[in-house]
Formats: sequence, structure tokens, C-alpha cells
Amino acid sequence: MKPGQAPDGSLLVPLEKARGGEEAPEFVVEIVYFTRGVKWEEKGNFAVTLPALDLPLSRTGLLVYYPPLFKVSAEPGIFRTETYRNPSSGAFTIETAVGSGGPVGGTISVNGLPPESGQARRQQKDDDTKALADKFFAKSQGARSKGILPIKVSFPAFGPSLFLVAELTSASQVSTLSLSYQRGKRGGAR
Amino acid sequence: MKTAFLSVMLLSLTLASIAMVAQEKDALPLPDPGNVTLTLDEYNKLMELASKPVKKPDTAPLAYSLKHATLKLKAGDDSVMGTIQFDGEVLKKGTVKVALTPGWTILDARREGRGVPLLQENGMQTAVLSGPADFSILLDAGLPLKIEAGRASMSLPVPSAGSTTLSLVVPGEHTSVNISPGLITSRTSENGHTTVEATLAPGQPAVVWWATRETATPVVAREVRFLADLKTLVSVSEADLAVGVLADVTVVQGDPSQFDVEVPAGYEITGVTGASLDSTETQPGILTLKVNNASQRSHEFLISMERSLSASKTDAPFLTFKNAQRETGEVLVEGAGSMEIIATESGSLKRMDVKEANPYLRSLAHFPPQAAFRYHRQPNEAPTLALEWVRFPDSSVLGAVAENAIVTTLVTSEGKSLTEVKLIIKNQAQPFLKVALPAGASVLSADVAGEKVKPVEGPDGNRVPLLRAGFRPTDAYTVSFVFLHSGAPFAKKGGSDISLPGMDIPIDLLQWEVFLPEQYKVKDFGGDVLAADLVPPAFVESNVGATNELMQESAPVAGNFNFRMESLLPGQLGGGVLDQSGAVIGNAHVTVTSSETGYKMNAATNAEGLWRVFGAPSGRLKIRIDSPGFKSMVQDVIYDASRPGPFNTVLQVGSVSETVEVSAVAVGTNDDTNYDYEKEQRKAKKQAQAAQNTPSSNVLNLQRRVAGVLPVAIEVPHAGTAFHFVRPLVVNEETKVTFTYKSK
Repeated sequence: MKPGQAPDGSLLVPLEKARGGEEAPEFVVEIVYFTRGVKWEEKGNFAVTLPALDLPLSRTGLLVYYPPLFKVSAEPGIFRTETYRNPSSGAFTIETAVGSGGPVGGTISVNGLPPESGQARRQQKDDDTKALADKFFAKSQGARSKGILPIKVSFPAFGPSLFLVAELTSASQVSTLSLSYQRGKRGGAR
Repeated sequence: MKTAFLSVMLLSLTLASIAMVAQEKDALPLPDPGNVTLTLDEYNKLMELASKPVKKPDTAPLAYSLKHATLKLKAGDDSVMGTIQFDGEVLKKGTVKVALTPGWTILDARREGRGVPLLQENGMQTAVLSGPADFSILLDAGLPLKIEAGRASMSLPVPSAGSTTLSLVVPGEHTSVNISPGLITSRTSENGHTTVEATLAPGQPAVVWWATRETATPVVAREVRFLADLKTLVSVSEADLAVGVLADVTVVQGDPSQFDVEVPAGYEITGVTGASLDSTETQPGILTLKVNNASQRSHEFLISMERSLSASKTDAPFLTFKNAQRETGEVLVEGAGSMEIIATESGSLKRMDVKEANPYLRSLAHFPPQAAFRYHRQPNEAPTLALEWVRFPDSSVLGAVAENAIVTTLVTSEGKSLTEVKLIIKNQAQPFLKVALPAGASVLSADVAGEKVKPVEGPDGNRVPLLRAGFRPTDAYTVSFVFLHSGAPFAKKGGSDISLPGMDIPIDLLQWEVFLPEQYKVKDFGGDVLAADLVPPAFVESNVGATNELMQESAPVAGNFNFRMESLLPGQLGGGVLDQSGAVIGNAHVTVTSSETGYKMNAATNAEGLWRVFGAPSGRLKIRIDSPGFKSMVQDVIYDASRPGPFNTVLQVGSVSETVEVSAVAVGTNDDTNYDYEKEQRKAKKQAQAAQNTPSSNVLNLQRRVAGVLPVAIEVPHAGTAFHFVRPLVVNEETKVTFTYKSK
């Protein structure tokens, strides 16, 4: 998905619209970006600032990987250190789901249809419909592609890490984590 | 005297003849003229042959054979007429009844221009012919047609000949004729008729049908009634409005051979597909869908159309099936790229949750749908949808990224260095990699996905192609280049440094192996890099619930790691597993169970014999470690999640079925009293260090390439010491390693 740019320079990520309520389906939006910081000295403080979203966040889990030669601890703030826990939302573990907030486009699972799909006649009709839909999607792919799409980047997990959590972040609030660091006794490359 | 001489001569000849006969007394006697002399064996053999019964000549297994039948038919208003040509052979002598074909109305039968008597036996038309002889019979025959609304059909009796071909002429151009069973070999259309050629299955009746369209007059005209359900995707893009309609038609009465669809003005139909679709016709404002089976109760079509856009608002188009008894539908609106669409509905259109839209309709979309509606078309209330949008410019995104850089440097005692940079790249559109080489360095070779490419030298630096002709990468691929740098020669002792060029794509992780000549003792490494063995394995998020495994793949760098107690975070529990010789045990299965709740966590040791689980609760835990060839170890431990410590284990050789149970200890204090674990750890660390300094296959490969492949003669060291470094997140910057050395 290619993000857009708002007049104020902020990033616009297209979202799926859905009616609110308890049954509103959950889906994952992933943004990978990098920022340049200041080179770490022997000891000091370092701030990790997360992007402000125009949505309230019920829980923010932050896994910070840091250079192995330093000892790092979190300063008091909105984040607190915790034992790592997998995200509570099922959306992080479900990659595709039909009728429950799966990604748009392309392949859908016929098995996700109502029980009558088990009947042979219904199954045949489903297969025909799916074939028509797949053909249309593939044919229209080139026409709908717009410019260069972002590359799917695997996050480079490297070195020791800290896990921190913050709850109830209001919309458009900037979340900042302050870390203090100090070079370990080993120092140097070796 | 003369008479006496002749007498002596005759006597001599007679004696000579007698002597010769005496010599040939074992051979056969000379036969008399007109006779044959045989040996007794030959005579007996002839007698035996003569006594055998005379073999009768073979008779034909069949009385006749029908070799080929040719049907030439032409369809009229209510019947099909034509000829049937039979070619065959009567095999038997005398008069034979030849069964020709059942089911036809025969008007005439001729053989070589003369009439042939036919008999009707059990419904089979039979000719009486004399044989043995070839025959060729021509029948004038006809069949009634079954005419329904828009469809003509007949059941065609097919003669049991060796092969049967059919030539059928039906009214109408491009009429879709179907034959079952049978194989249509050609279709031609001219002068308002369609001719099909086919081969039929001999002896099996064939059903032939075609859409009669304007020529057919339904015997019983039944009013056609059908329901239509249209699922419409409206895609707003930069220059056009594209529409895809998934139409589901259910026929409840009649046999419609076509459906007329009203198309909004200004739209161009770009495609129509459907399993039952025969052909389409387009007239202004009307799209006609002709189906190949009018009796089919359900039809599905996918109709796509588009129109160009110049403004930032328009009305969404609605297709409608003419004469549909009831029409329902859903509409989904998507915008290509970053845009906000305001959709205002009216008429019979009702807004609904996007997630409630039909899954097949949603599967047509390429972008997140922004609005969804449903409607039930009413006679006096058409659905309408006004669209208005704001488009945002695209944000810049990375064109390429290197997920991994594997760098190998060979350094000579003269200070020259040969470096190979191998990048695992994901690339959407970047054509070149800009390489800022150190001063005095030059690129010797470059490869893209295993094939050589030519690097380019520009005023602002070197460029290595990231793509080449005909190569369209869909996933990560390898780009590599080798460069030579002439540094300062090594002295007896001193300091030196080696640099890697900055590259204009981000590198997730750079792994660098530096191979230095063996005559130097090297230490005090510094620079922008980290020694690989100082980096602990990174924690990688897992989505497998309570099961957290410290996977070998999660270790991002090459080389050996040593488990460090300080890397355990609160809630983590882990340790090392060794055998009695101090060697690490990889792939041992570890199960941690809470004695209080029964909560289980699983892990496996990695190649360094290390394991770790996450989210371990405080309290009494049972740790079980199993590995083939070793006795299983079960130990109760008391664990404090806020003060995690390592749980190191030594397994004893034995069978898995044997279990060593150890009573409860606090984690971090377990020791085998008979075993000096710390000593073995030190020993293992020393061995790991030695392995760390052994050159990898990358060094050996580069050494081999120098000997012939690279276009440069350079004496690289073949004996030396390898040092491994890593650097994460390298973004268009130089990477440097510094060190001190001293001649041994």
C-alpha cells in the first residue's frame, strides 16, 4: 500500500472503513521507517519518539533493540518495562480472513462462506464466481497499480532488547520513551 | 594284335568302372530315368506330411463390414434433411442382410444409381446385398427437429460404422452448435448459415442443439422471468472511473437465450466474461449477453467498463438488466492511491458496513474500500450515488533495500585489500547502486543475480547496476561486486584501518569478515563495527502463543555466541545444555511446566546449546530436557520472574527412556557436584574463539576467484586469521574497522 502525504506533511495511510461497535473487525497496519539519531557516547540519554496517530491507542507495546555494548534502562514516563507478552489482539496472528476484516483483493477462501457452500451445486457456483473474480482481479492489477509500492522490509532484530508498554494514548498524542545508557565494561569492538 | 589291344582297353575300362562303383557303394544308387531316389527318412517325412488333414481356407468372421458413414444434413424450420453415405464390403458369398441405421425416415436408397431394397428389422433399416463385393449406398433421410424458445435440438441416430462424420448446416451466422457425444472439427459461417463438421461416436445417438435466435419460432412461447443481483465495484483512479460488475442472474421461468443490459452513457465496455456466455453484442446504451444454454437456470457474468475523468466528482454508474423481475445489488467504492472519497447516496441505495459487503465483491478491490451500499431497485426509485473526492500526493518510499550485506576482505602484508560485497536486495525500481569507494579503490567485477554486469564510473562515484536486461525480480536477489584498495604497507608494528564504501541503499545488517596475514598478531579492534561474538542472539517476536523457541534463524549474524546471564529479562528463563565433555547439545527439547497451574512452555536449544522461554511465571517450575542419546533430565526449580537467572544443564549419555530427576533448586544456582560447569564453559568458549578465527567459505571462494576469474593479479594471503564483525542499519555511510598489529 502506498502512503500519501497530507498538506501538513504528515503521512496518510489508507485504512478500511467500517461501522463502529464491538463487532468492528480488527486489521493490522504496518509501517516500517527509519530515523537518524545522534551517536552514543560513553553514557547519556536517548529518546525514542513514536509517530502520533490520529486514533486513540488502547495499548502500545514497544520492543527496543539496543547496541550490545551498552547497558540501557528506561526513564520514568508513559512507558513501563514489562515481561514480553504477545499482542492481545487476534489480528496480529490472523493473516487472512474472509468476512472478518481480511485484506482486500485477490484470493478469498470459499471455506469462509456459509455452511450451504458444502453442497455440490453451491460449491460449483462458488468456484465459478471465484474464477470470475480472480480473473477480473488479475486483469485489473496492472491498471490499478500506482507508482512504486513500498518494499516489504523485514524488521532487523539485532542485539539485546527491552520491552515496554503504555496504555491509553489519546489521538494525536506524541509518545516518547526516554532511555539512559552507559557503555559496558567490555567496551570497544574487542 | 590290334584286336587284342582294344580288348585289353575295354577290359581295363570295365574294371575301372567296377572299381569306381565299388568305391561309391555307400551313396544312393543312380535312379532310372523318370524316377527319384530318396532316403528312408525323407520318404517317411513325406508320408507323414501326406497323412495330415487338408487345411480349409479361412472364412470371414462377419458377413459384412460397414467401413464409413458420411452424414450431410441441413436444418430447416422443423426438420433436418440430407443424405447418409455408407461405404462397406460384403464378406460372405451369397445374399447378406446389411444393417444400416435405425431411427431415420428414409426417403430413398440407391446403389450405383439404382434402387436398393431395404427391410425394416426391429427398427433397423437393412439392405439386402450380394457378396463378396464392395458396396456404396446412399440414403436420402430426414429427422424431425425439436423446437423450443430460442433453441432447436434433435437426437441423431449414428450408424455403427467404423467411422462416422457429420456435416450439418444450420440457419444463422455464427450459430453455436453443440454435439454430444461428438467432436466438432470445424465451424464456418457464410450467407446466413453456419456449417459444422464433426466426428460422431459410432453406434451412439448424438444430441445436437443450437440457439435458434430469430429463426426459431417457439412452439409454446413462455414468458421469461428472471431475477438479477448485481455486485458493483467502483474504482476511482487518477484518470478514469473503472467499474466491475459481478452479475448473478437466476431464471425462474422460460428459456432466455440472451439478456439485455442497459449501460450508462459515456462508459465503454472493456470486458465481459461468464461460464455460460456465448457472445455479446453492443449497441448504443445496450449490451446484449447471449448465452450458450438457454435452459440453464443460473448465469453469472463479470462486466467491466470505464470512462475517463477530468473532474473530482461524478455519479457512480448503475447497470440494469432489462425486464428483470427483481433487481438487487451492492456497490463498493474504492480509491486508487491516497484519496478521501465522499459518497452521497439517494433513491433506493442504503449505506452499509464495508465488511458486510459480499466477499466476492470485496475480493475484486485492490485498495481498501471506502464505502459500501446495497439496493433493491424499485420501479420509480432508481439508486443514485454521487462521488466526490480529494486526492493526496504520494509519499516517497524506498525504492530498494539490502536485507543483508555479506562482506569479505582479504588483506595482504603490502597493505592491499581485496573486498567482495554481497548484497541481498529487495528492489522495486532502483536501477543502480551508488558506491562511494575509498580513495584509490577501483571496482574489478560486479554480478546481478549470478550474471556479470558492467559497473559504471561517474563523476560522483561508481555505480553498480541493480537490474539487467530481461531480469524482473519479484523477490530478494543477490548483487555483488569486488573492489581492490591499495593501502599502506604493514610495518613491523603499528595501526591500520580498512573501510567499506558507503552505498545509497539502506542495509539492515552488515556482516564483515576480515582475513589478515598470519605473520601479524592483531588486536584492539575499533571503528564502526562490533565483534560478532559480542552480540547476543536477538529476541524475535513470535505468534505461537505460549510456545517461544529461541530459533537458530533468529541469530542475525554468523559466528558463535556465548550465553550471557545479563541478557535474560524479567520473565525470561533460559540456559545452556552441554554434554559431559563440555560440548554443546543442539536441538534438545526443553519443556517448562508450572507445577501450580500446569501452564507449559516449550523451547529447543540452538546450535550453541542455548534455550530460552518467555513469560515464565514465578513459583515452582518443572524443567524437562530431552535429547536423543542422552538421559532425560527433569528438575524442579524455584523461579523468581523478577530476578531471572540461567539454568545450565549437563546431560549424561544414555537412553532417553532413562531419566535423571533432581530435587528443587533455585534457578541460577543449579550445579552438578560432580562436574565443573564453569571450567567446561571456559573450555567451550576457547574452542568457539578458535572456530571464530577460522576463515569461512567466503574467504576461500574469494581466494579462488583471484586465481583466474578476477581481471587482476594480486597475491592474497592463503594463511591467516579471520575476524568477524557486524553492523546493523547502515544507511549511505562508510564502515570502518581499526586495529593494531605486530609482526610475530
